[in-house]
Amino acid sequence: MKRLLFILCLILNTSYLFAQVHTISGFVEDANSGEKLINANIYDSKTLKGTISNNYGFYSLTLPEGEIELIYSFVGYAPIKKQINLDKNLKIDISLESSIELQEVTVTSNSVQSKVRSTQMSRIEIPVETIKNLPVLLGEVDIIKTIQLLPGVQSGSEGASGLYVRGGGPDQNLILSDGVPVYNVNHLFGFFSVFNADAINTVSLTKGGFPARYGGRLSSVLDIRMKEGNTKKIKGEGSVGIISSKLAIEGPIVKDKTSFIVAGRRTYIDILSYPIQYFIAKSEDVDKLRAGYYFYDVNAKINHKFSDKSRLYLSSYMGNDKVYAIIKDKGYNFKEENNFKLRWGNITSALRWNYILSNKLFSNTTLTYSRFKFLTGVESIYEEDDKKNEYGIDYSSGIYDWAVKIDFDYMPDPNNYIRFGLNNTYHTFNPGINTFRVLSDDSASDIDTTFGNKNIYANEFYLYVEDDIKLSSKIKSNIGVHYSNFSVKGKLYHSLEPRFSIRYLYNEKLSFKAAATKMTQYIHLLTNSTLNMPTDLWVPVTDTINPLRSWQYAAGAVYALTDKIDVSIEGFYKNMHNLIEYKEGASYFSTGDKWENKIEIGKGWSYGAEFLVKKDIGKTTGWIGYTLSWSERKFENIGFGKTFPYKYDRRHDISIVVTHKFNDKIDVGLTWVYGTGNATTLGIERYASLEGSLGGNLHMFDIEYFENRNGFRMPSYHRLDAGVNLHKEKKWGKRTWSFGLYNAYNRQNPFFLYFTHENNYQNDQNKKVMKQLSLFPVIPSVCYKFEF
Amino acid sequence: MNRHYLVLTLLIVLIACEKTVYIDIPDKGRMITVNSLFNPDSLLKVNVSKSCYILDNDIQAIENATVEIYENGNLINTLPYLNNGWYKSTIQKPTSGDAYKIKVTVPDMGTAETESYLPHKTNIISIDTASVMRTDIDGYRYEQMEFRVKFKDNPDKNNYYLLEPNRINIYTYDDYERDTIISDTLQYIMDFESNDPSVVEHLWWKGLLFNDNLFNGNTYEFVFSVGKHFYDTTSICINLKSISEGYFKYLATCYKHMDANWDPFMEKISVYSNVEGGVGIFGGYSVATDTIVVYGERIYR
Repeated sequence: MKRLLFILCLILNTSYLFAQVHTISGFVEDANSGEKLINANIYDSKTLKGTISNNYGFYSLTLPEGEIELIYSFVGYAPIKKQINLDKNLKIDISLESSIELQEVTVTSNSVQSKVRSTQMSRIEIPVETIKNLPVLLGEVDIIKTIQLLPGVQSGSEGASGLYVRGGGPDQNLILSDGVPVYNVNHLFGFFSVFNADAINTVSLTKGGFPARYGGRLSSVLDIRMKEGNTKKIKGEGSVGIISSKLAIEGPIVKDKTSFIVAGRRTYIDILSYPIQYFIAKSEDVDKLRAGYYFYDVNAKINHKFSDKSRLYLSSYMGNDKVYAIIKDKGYNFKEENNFKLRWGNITSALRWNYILSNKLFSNTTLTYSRFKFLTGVESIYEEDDKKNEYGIDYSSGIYDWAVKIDFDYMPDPNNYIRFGLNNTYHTFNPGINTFRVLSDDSASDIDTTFGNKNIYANEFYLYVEDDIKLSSKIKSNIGVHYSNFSVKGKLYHSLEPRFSIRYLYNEKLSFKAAATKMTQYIHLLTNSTLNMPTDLWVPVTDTINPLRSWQYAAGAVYALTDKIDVSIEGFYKNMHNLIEYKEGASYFSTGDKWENKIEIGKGWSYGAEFLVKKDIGKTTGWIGYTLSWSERKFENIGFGKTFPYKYDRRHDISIVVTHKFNDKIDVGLTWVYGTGNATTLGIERYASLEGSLGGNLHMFDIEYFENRNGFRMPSYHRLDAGVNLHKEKKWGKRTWSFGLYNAYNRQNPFFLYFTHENNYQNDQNKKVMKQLSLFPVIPSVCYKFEF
Repeated sequence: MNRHYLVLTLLIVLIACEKTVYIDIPDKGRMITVNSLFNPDSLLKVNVSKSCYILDNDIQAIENATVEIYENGNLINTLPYLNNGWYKSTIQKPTSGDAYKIKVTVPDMGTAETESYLPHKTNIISIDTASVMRTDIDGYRYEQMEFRVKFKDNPDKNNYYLLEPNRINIYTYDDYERDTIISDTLQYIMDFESNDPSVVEHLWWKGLLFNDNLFNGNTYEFVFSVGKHFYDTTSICINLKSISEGYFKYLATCYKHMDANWDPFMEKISVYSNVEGGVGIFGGYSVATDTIVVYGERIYR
């Protein structure tokens, strides 16, 4: 086997064995902000040999000695050509100028070409500017909501921030913020997501053909990279909206050496309602009443360049949702205070060190911390005649991760791009614990106790190696292997996951791609399948619950329709084993039972086709996506073991997303989505049932007869959102007024269905009907944004 | 713990709107519904009715069915019609350990069949009680009476149980017309709790459902507790029902079914049925009963 690999390497590198070669390496960055550009193209226009910059803007290209013309290009930036007489190793850092309108044709040709040429399939990047220009619910720019508009991605229920990718569940997505897993991406029960677009640099979603560097989830990788902070000058942007305001500031601390970015936002419905609460308290004769809800999040990042070879980053995210109520009252001899709180949030932090070991070898060492915590509790203090009684009860759950990882990018020649690395994560799962305390002047009856599920500790390790290898001028492949293990409660699980994808370049405009990947997942989210609740529990595999495993096969083609528009079509099949669901009837809120006793284990599969036409550059940008898919589940103890459609099985899904810039002052955004209604379970008959009651008496009640679980469809979902942005240059910078309409034609989309009785008083008849509850009617929004 | 659920529900109610929708729910015709619970102490009774379309309200009793009872494969009785869909056996009571089949034939609807068995009674060996202090989720401390019900499980087969803790109340009232005092007894279910590992379902209005997976063939002490607020001397009746597998599955799904129909965020749950060619339940049970007397704390002057 070793000999075979050696011979293969020899064949692949023949030209490099007999020619003198030199390496050009460096960074590609934005000329105005110093922000590193990810996936920029660098290639020799004569031989068309090239490479791309990595996640930190670093590139390395080894070419034979001689005259070359290097072209540096990136979507939305004017390319740079460099004539070089390559006779030694060179270090070239390149700054590209953003020039979307000026160099549109030249720029876009590279953008579309890189999609045709890449071995990676099932991956979509969305420009952050597009995300910001799209109309959204209450004017809150939302990355997750935009991701939901892509083919192959379902949103779950109305307004939710769930991601259901290619028939997978909401826990099967690896959501990375600067490389750190984020476990809960929801604010306000999923109606908003936690990512603040002002702090984001790039967003990409991978749905299949996973390279070996990714692991730990079955269905997708959402890779969100934060901005590094402007290294040239202080810049800021912010907005004041209906429900929240935000502000982001970035700039150099030491020019071209150290930079920072801080971005924060907070909602203020609670503060705006304080006057109302004051009057309610007055009318109810209560001393103080404070109740409300808010969420906030803060992103911060600082990076420092020690030398051309060494750079350090420290990034952090913190976000919380809080529901609270405080009631205080007092009389002449008593004082009472009652507090209620419900809080959940994430903290993620990453300390990252980039070091260039050689001009072909780039290393990235990262220490990360990620925490998601949910807490709810009540506290009551009562004082009467100098006697004080106090009691409180809290319930908390969460997950805490500490991780260290080392990744290497090795670029020996233009035909190979090798990545390898390893990662170790130490998980602490808190599947729900209660604390209870009673304190009184009579200390003999004091209680301070903790009960519930014990913490579970687990260790997850993986290592990987992959090579993006050019086998011929037409064929390129990404071959890799991902090994992982997970130890929990004395049990050690292993997984060896082959990853393979291949591209056949039919011509410069058309390529065919295929991929096969095995994935393993060691953690589960115990969730209510209709809502994204903070009570959803992250739990690990145990000695009795095995890891989730899947194989996904995908095949497709990418066609450059024009130099600005690419068309892709993909088919996929995915099987999933060891899926877990709550047992039928298990309460989502009960804490009295062990979580392991509340679940069922089953399997699922999904298949379908996705079609995407996308235009990223120009005055008009956007995409049209269409998905035709099937997703099914089978659990031995759910629905009597019959196969049933997954709740978010959606046969047809269409999204049309358009932004158009009329001029520097006006741009508009439109989105229209259509989806087959969610699967739902409805009775078709009612029948009398009977049970023995006390003393052997019998009584009757009705039972609904369900033929199949999720055997019916809710009415189809469709919605149009529209928005317009009015920009104006000011002395201090730029201001934008954004006006939006969510659900512009007021479609009443179904949230859930239920049967009820309707009385007709005219003929005194009681008729049973089905009702649909809808959440969001047409909702206008206005937002004031500024940049300086 | 349900407070955040309340918050969410309030939020939804505040912003949501509803409308009547029309979804094409196919009318697949009526089904014969057969329901019968039988025990060794009573003559077998069967209720036969006709299901109705989901949007209709008229579940109708079937009066013209032919209801045949088979014991261990032999036809033993054709049940005459009583009233309200009830058919009642005219011969001997069911026998523990025997298998029974009901065959219901309804003109224009076809035939439905169902089989079950009558489990043997599981005798209660002893009941021990103790007073214990507990703390509820809001922090209040309260006293409970803990019961330990000991019995011997039958090792030959899988066994299923329903334990009903009932309070017996004796009512007395004056019958002025007859110039006499009449007393009557009534059993009703008590509030109960149990962390016993064998419990499969807490049927709050009925009892505790459990099986012998953890103690097959052994003597077992089942533990549960009830609120201890006995001001008067009270008789507590513990019914340990050995129930057939079908009845067990029916009970386990039936209560969840009702819960799920009230909760829009819960998945709907099908109720177990063991009727071929129709729906319903045919289940057997045998009861072992023991009664204990708790002396009350009321002070009479």
